[in-house]
Amino acid sequence: MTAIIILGIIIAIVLAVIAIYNRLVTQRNRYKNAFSQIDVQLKRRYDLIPNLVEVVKGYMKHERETLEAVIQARNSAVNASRQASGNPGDPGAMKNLNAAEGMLSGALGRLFALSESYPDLKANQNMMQLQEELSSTENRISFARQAFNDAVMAYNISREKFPNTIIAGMFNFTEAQLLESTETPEERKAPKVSF
Amino acid sequence: MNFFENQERSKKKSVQLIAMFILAVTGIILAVYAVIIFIIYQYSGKGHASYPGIGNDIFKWIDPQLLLLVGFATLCIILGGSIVKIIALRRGGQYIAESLGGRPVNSSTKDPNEKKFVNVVEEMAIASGVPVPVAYVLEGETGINAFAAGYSPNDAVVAVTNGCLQRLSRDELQGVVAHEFSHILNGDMRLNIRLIGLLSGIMIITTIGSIVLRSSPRSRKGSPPLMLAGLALIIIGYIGVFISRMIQSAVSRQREYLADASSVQFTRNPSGIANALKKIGGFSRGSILKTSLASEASHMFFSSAIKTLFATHPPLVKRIRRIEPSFSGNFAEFQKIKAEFKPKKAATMGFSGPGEQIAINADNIAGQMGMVLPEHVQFSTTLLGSIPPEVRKEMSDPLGASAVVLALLLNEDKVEKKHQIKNLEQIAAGEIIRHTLLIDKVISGLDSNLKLPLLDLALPTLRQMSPAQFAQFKQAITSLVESDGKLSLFEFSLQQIIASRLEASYHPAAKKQIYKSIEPLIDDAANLIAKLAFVGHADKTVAQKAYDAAMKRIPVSAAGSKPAVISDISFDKVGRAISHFAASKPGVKQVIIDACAHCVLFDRTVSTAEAELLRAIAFSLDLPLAPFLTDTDSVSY
Repeated sequence: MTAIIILGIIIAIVLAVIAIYNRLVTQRNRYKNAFSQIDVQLKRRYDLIPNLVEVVKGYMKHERETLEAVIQARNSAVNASRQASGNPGDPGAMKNLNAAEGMLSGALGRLFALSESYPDLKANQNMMQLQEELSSTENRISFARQAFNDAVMAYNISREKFPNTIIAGMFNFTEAQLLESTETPEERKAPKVSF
Repeated sequence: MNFFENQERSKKKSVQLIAMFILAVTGIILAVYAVIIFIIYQYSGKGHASYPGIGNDIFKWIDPQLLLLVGFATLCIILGGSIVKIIALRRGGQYIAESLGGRPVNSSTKDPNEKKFVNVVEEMAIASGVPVPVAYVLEGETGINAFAAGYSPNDAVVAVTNGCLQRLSRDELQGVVAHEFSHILNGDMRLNIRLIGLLSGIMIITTIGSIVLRSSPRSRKGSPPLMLAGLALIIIGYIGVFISRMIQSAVSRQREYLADASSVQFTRNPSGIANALKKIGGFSRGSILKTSLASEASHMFFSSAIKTLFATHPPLVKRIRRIEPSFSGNFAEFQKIKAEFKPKKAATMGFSGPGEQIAINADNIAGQMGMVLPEHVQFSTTLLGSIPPEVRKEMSDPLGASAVVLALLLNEDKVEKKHQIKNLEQIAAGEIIRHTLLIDKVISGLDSNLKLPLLDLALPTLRQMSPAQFAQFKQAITSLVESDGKLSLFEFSLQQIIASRLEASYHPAAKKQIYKSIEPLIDDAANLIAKLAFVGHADKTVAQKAYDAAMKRIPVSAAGSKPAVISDISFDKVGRAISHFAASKPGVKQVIIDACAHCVLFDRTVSTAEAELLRAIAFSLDLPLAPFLTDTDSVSY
C-alpha cells in the first residue's frame, strides 16, 4: 500500500513537472512571437528614415549634423533590433534596443523641430506623407509593444510562481525583459507634430 | 459524403482510437509486469519466498497484488500524461504551432513567398466559409511539409515549413493548403489532438525510463535492479511507441487520401497537389522535419515528418497515382525544379465536371457544406481584390485590424458618428481612434457586401492582441454598438461573429453538445426562421410562405409549436436560439441550417441583410458556409 502511495506521488510530480515545463515553453514562444510583431514595425520605420533624410536634405543644407545624427541613430537601432530579434526578452539585448530606440526618437524629434523653420519643406508632399507614415508606424509600434509586454509579463509571473520557479531554474528559463517606452513625453509628441 | 457525415465519421474514428489505445495500454501493463517479475526473480537470489521454482509453472507467474500495483501505476502515468497533454492542446492551434517552433506570418510581410502563402490561405478560407486561420511558418525546417491544427475551426492555424515556401509554386502551395483545409473541414483536427494526447501519454514511459536509467548509480555495487528497471521501461516505452505508430498509421492514412482528393476537388487542379508531392519525392530532405516533437504529431502533417516503420502517410507514389494515374514513379526529374514549374490546368480528374453550374439551390446548402468549388476560390480572389489596398495594409497589424472593425460599426449619420466617437474616446487610446477615422473615410463608400469579408480578414490578425488589449477592444465595440440605443442586424451579426470566433482563442472551452434532437429546440427554430423570413422578405405574405416552407424542412411537426406569425423577433431571442443550436449535435445543426437556407432562398434572392444573419448563424454553429454564387453578377457573401 505504501508502495502505491509513493509511486502515485512520484507520478504526480513527474506529470506536474512536464505540464509546467510545457507551459513555460509556450509562454516563451508567445512573447517571442509578440516581439516579431514589433520587429516588423521597427523595420518599417527604419526603411522610412533614409527616405525622410533624402527629402529633408534638399531643404536643410546647413543641418548636416542633425541629419547625420539621425542616420547614425537609425543604423545603431537597426543593429540593436537585429540583436534583439535573435533573442527577444534577453535583458542585455532589450536594454540596448531601448537605448538605441531612445536615441533615434530623440534625433528624429530634433529633426522635426528644426524642420519647423523651413516652410517649403513643410509644404512638400513627400514630407507630409513620410510624416504621416512615421507617426502611424509609431502608433503600431506602441500597440505591438503593449502586446509584447503583456506576454512577457505573463511569462515572468508564471516563472516566478511556486513551484514553477524550481522548474524554471532547472531548465534555464531566464527572466525576460520588458520593452519600455523609450519616449519621454516631449519626445513622444515630437514626431507627431503637425506642420 | 457531406460535411455532417464526415464529422460523424471522425467521431466514430475517435471511438476506435480509444479502443485501440486501451488495447495498447493493457499490453504495456502486462509487459511492465513481466519485466518486474523477471527482475524480482533474477535478483531475489532465486530463492524469493513468493517465487520458488519460477519458470516451471506458468501459473506461479501471476501475482494479483503486484499486477494490481503495476497496472495502477502504469495507468496513472499514461492517462495522466494524456490528460495533461490534451488539456494543453485544447488551447488551440496556436499552441500546437508554437510548440512546434512556428512563427505567425504577418500579412504585411514583404517576403513574396510569405505573402503568397497568406493570400492563398485567405482565399481558401473565404471560399470555404471557415474563419481565416492564422498562417504560421516553421522557419527552421527545410523539408517540404505542412499541417493544420486547432480544436475547432475557430482557433485553427495552417502552418507550412520554410522549405514549402521556398520550393513550391503558387499552384502547388494552393494544393497543399487545400489539403490542409480539408482536414479542417472534415473534423480531423480534433481527432489529431486526441491522438497526440494519447501518444504522448504512452511516450512518457520511455521518458521516465531514461530518467531512471540516468539517475541510477553507475558503481558496480550499486543497485542494478534500478538500472535494469530503467532499461526495461525504455524498452517497454519503445514497444508502446511501436504500438502507437500502428494506431497513428491506422487512423491517419485513409484520411490523407481523402484530403488529397478534396484538394483536387477544391482547386480543380490536380497538378498542383500532384507536383507538390512529386517535389517532396524528388527533394533529398523530402518532408522530414527536425523538431523533436515531430514524432508525436507526425500524423498531422501533409506528408511523413519522420522516418518510421509504420507510415502515417501512404507512400508518395501511391498518393500521386491516385491523382495522376499515369505517374511513372520516377522523381529524378523533380530534383532540381524550383518554384517556376508551371502546371497546366487540366481537369483530368475533376470531381465535378468543368461545365457544371453551381446554382444556388436551397437543397444543396447543407449538402455542399464543407465543400469548396473552384468558383468559390475564384470568387474570393475577386472579392479580396476589390478591397482597397490601404485597408488591406491596415489590417496587417492588430492596431489597424481593430480599427477596421471599429470603423465598420461607425454610423453613416454625421451626428450619430460624432456621438459614437465621443463615447469611444472614453475607452480607446487616441491612436486607435485616429486609425478608425482614417479607415472610415476609405470604407464608407464601400459595397455593404464587403463588410463581412473585411471582418473575416481582420480576425486572424486580431488574435495577436494580448488578452488585456482584447478586453479593451470588446469594450470599444460594445460602446459603438450601444451608443445609438438600437441594435441593427449588422451590429448583432458582428458581435455574434466576434464572440464565436475570437472568444474561442482567448478563452478556449469545448462546446458541449447538449441537444441531441431538435424537439426541445423547436421554439428556438421558429424564432430564428421567423427572424430570417422577416429580414429577407419585404412582403408579409411572401415572408409567411418562406417561413412555412422552411418549417416544413424540420422533421418534427411544428404544428403544435408557436403560431406562425412573422414578426420582428427580438435579438435577445435570436441570440438565445443561436447559442442553443451551437450546443447541439451535428445532426441538429444540419436540420436547422437547411431550414434557414430554405427560408433565405425562398424568393431565389439573397439580400445583404439575409446573408449577414445567415453567416452569423453558420459561424456561431461552427459551420462553414461558402459564399452564395448566383448566375447574375450580383454575388452575396
